[in-house]
Amino acid sequence: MSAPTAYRARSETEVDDGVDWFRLCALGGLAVMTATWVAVLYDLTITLGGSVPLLLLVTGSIALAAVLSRLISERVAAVLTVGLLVVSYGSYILSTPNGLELLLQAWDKIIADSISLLTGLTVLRLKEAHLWVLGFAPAPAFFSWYLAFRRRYVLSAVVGGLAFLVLVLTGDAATAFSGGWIQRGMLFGATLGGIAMIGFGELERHGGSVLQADVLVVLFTLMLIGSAIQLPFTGSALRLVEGGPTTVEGSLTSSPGETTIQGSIELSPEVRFTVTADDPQYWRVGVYDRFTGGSWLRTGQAGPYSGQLDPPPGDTETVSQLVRMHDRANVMPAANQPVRVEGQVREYTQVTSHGGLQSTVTFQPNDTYRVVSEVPDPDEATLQNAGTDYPTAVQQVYLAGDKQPDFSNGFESRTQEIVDTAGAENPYETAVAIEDWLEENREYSLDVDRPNGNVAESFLFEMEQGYCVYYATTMAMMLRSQDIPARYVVGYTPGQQVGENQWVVRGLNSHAWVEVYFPDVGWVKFDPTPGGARSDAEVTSIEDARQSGDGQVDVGGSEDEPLTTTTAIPTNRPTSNATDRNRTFRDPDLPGVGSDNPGGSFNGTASTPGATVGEPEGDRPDGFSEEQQRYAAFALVAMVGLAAGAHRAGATRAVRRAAKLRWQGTKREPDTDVERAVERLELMLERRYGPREPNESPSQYVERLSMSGVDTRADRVVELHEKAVYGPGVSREEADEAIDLVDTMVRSNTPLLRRFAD
Amino acid sequence: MTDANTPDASHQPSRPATTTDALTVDQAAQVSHDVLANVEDVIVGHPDEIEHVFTAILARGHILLEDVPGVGKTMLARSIAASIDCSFKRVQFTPDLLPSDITGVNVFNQKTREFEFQEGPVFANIVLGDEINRAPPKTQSALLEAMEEEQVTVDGTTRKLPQPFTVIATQNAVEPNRTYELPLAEVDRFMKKLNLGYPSQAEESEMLARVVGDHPIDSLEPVTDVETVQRARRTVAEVTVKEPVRNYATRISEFTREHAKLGVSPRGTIALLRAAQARAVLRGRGYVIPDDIQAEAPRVLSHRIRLSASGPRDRGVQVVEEAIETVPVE
Repeated sequence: MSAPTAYRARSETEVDDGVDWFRLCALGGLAVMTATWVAVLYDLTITLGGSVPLLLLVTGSIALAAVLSRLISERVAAVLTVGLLVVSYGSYILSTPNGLELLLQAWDKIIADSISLLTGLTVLRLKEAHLWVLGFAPAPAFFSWYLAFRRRYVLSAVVGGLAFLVLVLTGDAATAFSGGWIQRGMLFGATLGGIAMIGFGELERHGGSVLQADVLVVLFTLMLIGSAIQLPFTGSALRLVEGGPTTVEGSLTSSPGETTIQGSIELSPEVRFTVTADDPQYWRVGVYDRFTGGSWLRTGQAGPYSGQLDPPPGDTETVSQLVRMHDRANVMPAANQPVRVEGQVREYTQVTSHGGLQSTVTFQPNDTYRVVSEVPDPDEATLQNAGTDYPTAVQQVYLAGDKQPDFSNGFESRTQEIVDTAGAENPYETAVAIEDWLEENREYSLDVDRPNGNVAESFLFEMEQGYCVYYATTMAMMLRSQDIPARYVVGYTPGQQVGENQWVVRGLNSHAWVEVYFPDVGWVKFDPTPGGARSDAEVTSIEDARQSGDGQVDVGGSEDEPLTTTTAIPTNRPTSNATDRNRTFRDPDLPGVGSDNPGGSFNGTASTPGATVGEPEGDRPDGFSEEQQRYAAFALVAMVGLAAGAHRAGATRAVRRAAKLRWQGTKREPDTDVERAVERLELMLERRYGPREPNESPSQYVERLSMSGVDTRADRVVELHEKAVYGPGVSREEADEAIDLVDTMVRSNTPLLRRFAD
Repeated sequence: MTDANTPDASHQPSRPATTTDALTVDQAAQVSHDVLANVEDVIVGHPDEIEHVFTAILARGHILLEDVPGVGKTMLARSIAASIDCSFKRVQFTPDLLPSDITGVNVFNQKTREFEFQEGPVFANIVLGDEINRAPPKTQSALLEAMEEEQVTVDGTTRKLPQPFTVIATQNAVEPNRTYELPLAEVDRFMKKLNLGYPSQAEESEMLARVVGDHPIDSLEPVTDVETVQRARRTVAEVTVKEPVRNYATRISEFTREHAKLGVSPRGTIALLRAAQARAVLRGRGYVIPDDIQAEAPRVLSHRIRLSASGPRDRGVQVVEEAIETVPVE
């Protein structure tokens, strides 16, 4: 991680007249805190590019803070920070398509986008995410260090903590720290660092001693407890504002936008849906454009479906498909490229910026919808001659970025080699060459150890087998390395044909493939996964399931038909959303349209085929759960913290006082007994009349209170006290007299014991 | 307060000249109250100041009365002297007063052909130095030396002053430009500085009633004697001062040193403790409590404090009050 940058400013803080350890510790705490959230950003820049500028910016901001902390007032610094944020966010918005228009007209969209960003939308899914990261970093780095240099540690920790909080809310912190214990340690580091800074900083400011470190113990404990509690609102578990119904072609997207590449998987033979259509097609579910090395993301915003969509530019074949759901899902499988949705389901349909469909509701079994797609149907010559005159919008999104390509030079040259060997001369031949090479040189297997790092590179160089996700990912990236726009697509293969125009689609039909863009044609499907092996795996799975009596395997008549299907990749079960509200609507045009669930499931990734599990929170540090030992240690620390907190809050003192008031304790020397008796008397009087002033002697105190009605017994007690303390001392009898007097007075002032007084 | 204890009789008397034993605290308190009651027959009002004068006598201190003329400074001194049945002399300080006018001179006796010492007014139990700030410093210092040493040296011969010996000096607060202000070092030798102030209207009216006909001072009868006062002084000297009280007194002095240009000297702290002892006896106590310190501190310490070289001298009171307010009692 990028921790070291934050430590640089430390040397400046050493005071001339010896080392101020508290200050050093405080700044060290801030360093840890800064390192933590910068590490999160750094983790993002590994995907997005801009690592070096990020570190330079952060370092520069800290240096600037060191200089300006002596020059400008806090007010000016705050204004500067806010200005920095506004300018960087503004320039980020301007850098997105239609940015200016957006900035001028659509403030509500920007706010809605910001909110969805803060409710679990990863920064990676922003269109110009690297700009966002670079714009975000300087302001909190500058301001938190500025404040720390000016000894405003608490505020500094707040600023640093806010920066971290933003990244926690976007879910990126959890993703970045989901790795090993080191990363989890870093997660603790942010809060521990902040608290260490506050604690040590306050000790430094007020010249505290080590004895006052109990404050720190309390804070650390709170921290520990807090970190053990899952934050339910991070990640995509809960979204405050639905990112859906906006038309802005802006910076943000809505769910489901991410699919993580998994290791070994299993096939599900259960039926997901049936399709009635003239031709078998690949039923597409999701389109992804940004590759992070380990997962695919969809950038851009989804908007509501509002009538006819533009068809692809070239020749197309019109496919009308009627889909009947057999399981709950909030995706809308449809052939590329959907142009029209029919039925009431329209109102709940969204169109992603990539032209895909998704539903804002969760379909229930037997829900039905109809989608008309225009499938590009070019002949080979058209593809051969399509050229490379790609539209700008396509270039921006579907090509490898100049800033930081998602592949190495080795990857590019290896691809070039493969393409050259095949003698490809245009994009179409290149795509075919790559498709062929992958089909021939990699074995199909569902039993895969997920590689660390870039999956595409691993699959090209190291791995010998994989399944469709690996094939498709690698092919898409190989095409991009050849400057051919390509995207990663998930969905279902046509499934088992059970009638003249009816297909049964099961979970094991889920698949990933590649779409390649050709000018004047549109997106054309390429499937680099070898077909035969997939079919075998699929047939085996269905037959196994039939033998074990799984009722979900077949629908009307499908068991009688041959299993002439195509491909398979597994998926985990489609969405089962516990929060469904069943609101049934019937559409006369569409037989059997079922219930729906407005605003329902947002665990979209789970229902997206293509091994799209991997909700970020699944990998999140989960505190100290099951393990007994750790639990015990945690409980111990919590107890110590509670004790320290009680001590700090004065609870122990209060208990001690109450006890002291009522029990004289064992008798010792007469003089000390009288002193103790007077202390009790004072405790009692203090409760009713306020404490004795420091400059008052006990006798003056009692005399002052005599106006408020303290009886003469108190006079006698303080008289004996004076004699014991300042005079020759008291006899045993006098001491006992004082104790008795105080006992009586305390009893008569205690509600329940009052009846026994006198 | 019925069980006031007797100071430990085994204490070795600090002054060999006195052969008498100390009174018990109760006896000393009784004597004091008799004297105060007697004085209050003459002096109208000012009960606190009368008490302070008498406690200063018991505590072997001297008193500086600063006030405008005619408020009864001289009358106060005279009535106390008359109540004790002791010698009383009065010196009116004037700019031309010589030291020998105070201490006395050796006079050549024609008959015996020898020098004989003629005692000055300082040879008395109670000496009233009126308007002490009108005399030049040399003359002032002659009196002040007598106060400190309780003896007088004339022409190489040292003569002891009678016991008890108490100087009550008055200072004229008006007409400052015709006076020699007492240096701080000399003011420090007075245990207390008192202000009488004007009587209230009722008091003044009462005063007028008393002076019609015979002045009460003329008929004032002594209620005690020098011997008893000496024994009471021994009682006071033996009053217990425990460590918490000693610490409290030193903390007060310390405070004045921290909050003024010139704070209370150790001599001032000693004086404070002695005055507190005397007050304890008057209250029938054989031990000093912090209240005694607090009661005596303003009059014992204020005049020893200078806030600045040229600033008003009265500010010392504020410092002492602040000290009492701030310094915690243990």
